[in-house]
Amino acid sequence: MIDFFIADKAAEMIRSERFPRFLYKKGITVEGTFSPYMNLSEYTTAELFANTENDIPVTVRFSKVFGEVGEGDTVRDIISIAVRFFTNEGHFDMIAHNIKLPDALRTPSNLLKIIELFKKKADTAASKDNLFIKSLENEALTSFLIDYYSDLTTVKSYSGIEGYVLNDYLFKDACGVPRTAVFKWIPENGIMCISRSEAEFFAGYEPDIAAIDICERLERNEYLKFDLETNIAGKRLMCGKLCLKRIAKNTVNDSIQFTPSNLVSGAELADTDFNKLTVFMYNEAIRLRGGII
Amino acid sequence: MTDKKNTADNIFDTLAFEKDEDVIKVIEAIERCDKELALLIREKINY
Repeated sequence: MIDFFIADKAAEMIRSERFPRFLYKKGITVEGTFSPYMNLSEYTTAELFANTENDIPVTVRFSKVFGEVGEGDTVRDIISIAVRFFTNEGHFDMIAHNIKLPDALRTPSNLLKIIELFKKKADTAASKDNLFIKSLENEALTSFLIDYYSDLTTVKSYSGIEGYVLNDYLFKDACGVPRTAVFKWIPENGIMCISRSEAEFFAGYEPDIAAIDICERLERNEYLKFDLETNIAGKRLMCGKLCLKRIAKNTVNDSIQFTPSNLVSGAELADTDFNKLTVFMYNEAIRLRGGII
Repeated sequence: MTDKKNTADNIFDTLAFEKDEDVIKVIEAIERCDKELALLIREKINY
């Protein structure tokens, strides 16, 4: 059960900025397919992972988590890869970010603290609120900030980012035996990031460089490919390949809303307070803003 | 993977206008997570 005060605080934060979005404002949406590599029916009944014969249509939105709409794509920020699988059993959403959230930070209060810290930094765009000084007492947060200040958060191409899926899942087989499953997207071309000086240059020279990069690649038929790696109860497996082929319409990009509560039977969210708060926050944003779910 | 020197540069920049005692506290906190990175930041400060 999530603390009422934490849920209330989360709702208040989201209400403070309903439009265009509370987070994930600047992004680009692409469409393609997901091809499962292997049959995982011994772990899950979800058709998405158990049927290797059919490709599954997907919509993927790459976005900056805290950045504003007019901000340069290369300005330091966490990047999100949100994937919607259109399965015969319904929609299944998987939201990932290019920096791993340490296990110690996967609590409702820490999640809110991170959002508060980074939102404030993005809103004021000033160095007077130094993130490190604000998080001195929290070692896990310091470790997260070290990743944040690495070159991983300055990218000019969304085709070269890893995606650590935010939520952990419970796979259930035909007998109902649960196993934890965590996922990660791995770019086929490897990780591509740029230094701070390059990022500064591109932020002024071409603020939409990451979106333009995707458009140009797809025009040249260079599809964006990512492998989905999973760790099921300590066993690492490659699940399948994401192949992104075309840009979605602007209306889809503006209105699509992802939520971790879009699930299919056999692949459920693990019963943790962190997962519950993320579901509450994404769904609260949808309730206030509307959009395609 | 990412270049640790660049990370040190980036963190060093965020500390440029902070008080000395705060900078020391931040470097000590970083040292607990990554000794090599803390050393690189110290080297930059001494330089």
